[in-house]
Amino acid sequence: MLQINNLSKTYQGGKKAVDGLSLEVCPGDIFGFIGHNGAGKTTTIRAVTGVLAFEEGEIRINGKDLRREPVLCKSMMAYIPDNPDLYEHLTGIQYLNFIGDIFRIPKGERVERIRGFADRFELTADLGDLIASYSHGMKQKLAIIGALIHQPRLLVLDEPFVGLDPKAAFTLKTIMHELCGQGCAIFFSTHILEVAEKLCNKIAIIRKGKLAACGPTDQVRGDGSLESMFLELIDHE
Amino acid sequence: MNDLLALLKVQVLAFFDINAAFHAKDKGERRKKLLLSGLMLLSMAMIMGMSFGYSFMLADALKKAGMTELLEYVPGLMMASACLATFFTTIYKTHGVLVGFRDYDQIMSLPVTVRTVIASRVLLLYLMNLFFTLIIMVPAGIVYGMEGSPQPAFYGLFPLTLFVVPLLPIVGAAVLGIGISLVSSRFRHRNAVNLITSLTLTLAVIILSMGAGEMSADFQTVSAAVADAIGKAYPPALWYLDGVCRGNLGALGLFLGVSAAVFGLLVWGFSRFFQPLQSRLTAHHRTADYRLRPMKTGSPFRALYVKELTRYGASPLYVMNTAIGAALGVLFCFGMAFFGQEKLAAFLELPGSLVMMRTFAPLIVAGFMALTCTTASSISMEGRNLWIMKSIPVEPFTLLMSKLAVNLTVQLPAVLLCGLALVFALKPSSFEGLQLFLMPAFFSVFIAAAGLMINLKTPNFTWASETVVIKQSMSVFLSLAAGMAGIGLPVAALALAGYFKVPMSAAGLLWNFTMLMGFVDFVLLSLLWEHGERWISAL
Repeated sequence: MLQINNLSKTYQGGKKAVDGLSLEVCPGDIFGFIGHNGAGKTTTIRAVTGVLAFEEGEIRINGKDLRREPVLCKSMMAYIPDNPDLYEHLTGIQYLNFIGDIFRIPKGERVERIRGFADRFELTADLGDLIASYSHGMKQKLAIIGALIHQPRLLVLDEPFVGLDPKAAFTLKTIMHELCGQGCAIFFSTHILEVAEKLCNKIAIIRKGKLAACGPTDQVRGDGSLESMFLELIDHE
Repeated sequence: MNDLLALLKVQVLAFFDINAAFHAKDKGERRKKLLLSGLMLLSMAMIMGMSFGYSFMLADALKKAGMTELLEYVPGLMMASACLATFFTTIYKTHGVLVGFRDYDQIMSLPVTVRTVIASRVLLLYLMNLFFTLIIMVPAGIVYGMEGSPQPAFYGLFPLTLFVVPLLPIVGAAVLGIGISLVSSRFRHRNAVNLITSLTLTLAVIILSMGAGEMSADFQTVSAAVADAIGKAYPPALWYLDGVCRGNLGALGLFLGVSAAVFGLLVWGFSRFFQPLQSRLTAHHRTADYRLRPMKTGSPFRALYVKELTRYGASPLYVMNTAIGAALGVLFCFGMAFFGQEKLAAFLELPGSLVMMRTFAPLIVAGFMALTCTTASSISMEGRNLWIMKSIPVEPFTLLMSKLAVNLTVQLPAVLLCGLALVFALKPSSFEGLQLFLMPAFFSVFIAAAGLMINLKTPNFTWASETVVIKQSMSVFLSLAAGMAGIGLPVAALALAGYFKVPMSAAGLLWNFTMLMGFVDFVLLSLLWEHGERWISAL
């Protein structure tokens, strides 16, 4: 579903944030992307979602080249950034309807899809209020609902559990499992190693823009815990 | 004191985006910021030059007419102008600088007193306006020193009082700005109320100040008439005039005393009610009782357009700075239809304006549309929401056209209303009538497309206050310059033709200009179609 081949991104000023990164996320995968601060996680995720232009390498979504067919690729995926900066001048329902129009969600299904996810995240009653009045967690929930209602085949999330209350975090994990069961692929970054260990079937660790480890969770973890393995990799510089 | 200076420094750096000019890693970004600084310096030099030129021409005319005793009105007049300009520009800065600023939580959580926070905000406002006062008034003072015979005290009092001049208009504007925001905050649709109040007020004051400028042509009463006009426009200017130019210590004391007392009262009152005021102004209506019901669906373009239009309407500052051109245009054209062109020409005191209006009516409307550019800041206004624009599956051209359509939504109804009013007022031939609609419409598209392209090339997404992108950004400066250059083109061509005695019909030239604008529109839209994806991708 997602193929990253030799991705490199150098920022103005010369800093190479991502250096020859390659990985593949298949349908049904919950793929955790781990690294310390500044390792290149967000840069990779922003490149995958078409937010950030990149110079070298190739990104394919469901076989389609992101650079050649950006609109088609974007229509197959959903992105939730680490900080849910949404249109604060819109109400929650106006934002979701905006997403509905952009992703051409059929009129007949739109309300039911919104109802389904908004009820699960307990946000339905707040949808008539301005996003500016929402708490950080509510904005995060709204961003997640917006990402889910158009039934993406690839879900890309940057630190999705930050700001969510325990119940919402549990709901999101449940939904992630459900989506994978339906053949969707999930690629997400996290600092919470326990979550990655329990939730992901595959994990990649990025260090200084390069892939330090990648593969099925059990394989990457080896005999120890993911935490000890991660610390060992990071300290090995 | 250290706290105050530290707060002020951070605010100045953020507001004027100074750090990016010196510390940006990207050389291109650094160049852009330095270019903006250069443009701002150039604009300041131009305003100083205009102030000097206007003051000098006024002084020269008075001397030639043998009315040297009136020369003292030169600094008085420029003081009143600087104060009125300060007043108008500050009303819309209060929300964002004094209250409702984005970093409120961060600032208020620091271990500094509320009084220090307020002092730093008020000082920022004061510094911005002091700068403006200096560039308008210093040239007028120099002209008075050169052409008049000021008392020795003038040379000491003039520079000293310059620092007091902006205080009163700042207080007036702050009280009014906060008052409008407070009244609006009582309504659910606070932005609409804020906008309507601000727009009505601005137009009312513009009309009243024009009326105040009407003076008697009788030379024997001209002195009293000038004093009356200045007094009507801004009464404390007369105290200033009496004190600084005539050495009347009582008047000087009154001016300094009232300015300082009123300013002190603002700081005191503001520090007393700052937190409740802030809470009141930033509070949102929450109902949390929404029930899902069927929704209106539409195309991606419609969704983007509605989103963009809502964003536009959500910022009274954005609307005030862009729709004011269209509103003034409509007011002007309806004034012409209602009062008749002769009366309006006399009211505006434009020499030869009668003939000029008949010939250049479409260009005048186009000029108002040049001031109505929403697109020049529409890309920057995405700010932290840029990720949405870049991650949604929409053709870049559709996205850009939604922004352009909002600009045309503001401009085209105004063009239509202006055209209808001018048809009524000028009774043109059908060919001339068509021109009244066609040229301003083509020019509107030009302004909208040029503004969009300029903002794509010079965006700013890291603003802390909307004022930075709406009023002070490079893209807004450049778009305004592009508009003025567009308007200036046919005028310069006619002036050159006149100078070199080349026979040229104004009407014919304007038709050629209309066709040129149509072609330029086509080129700009083609460029957006061709390169839009690359430009958006580079943001």
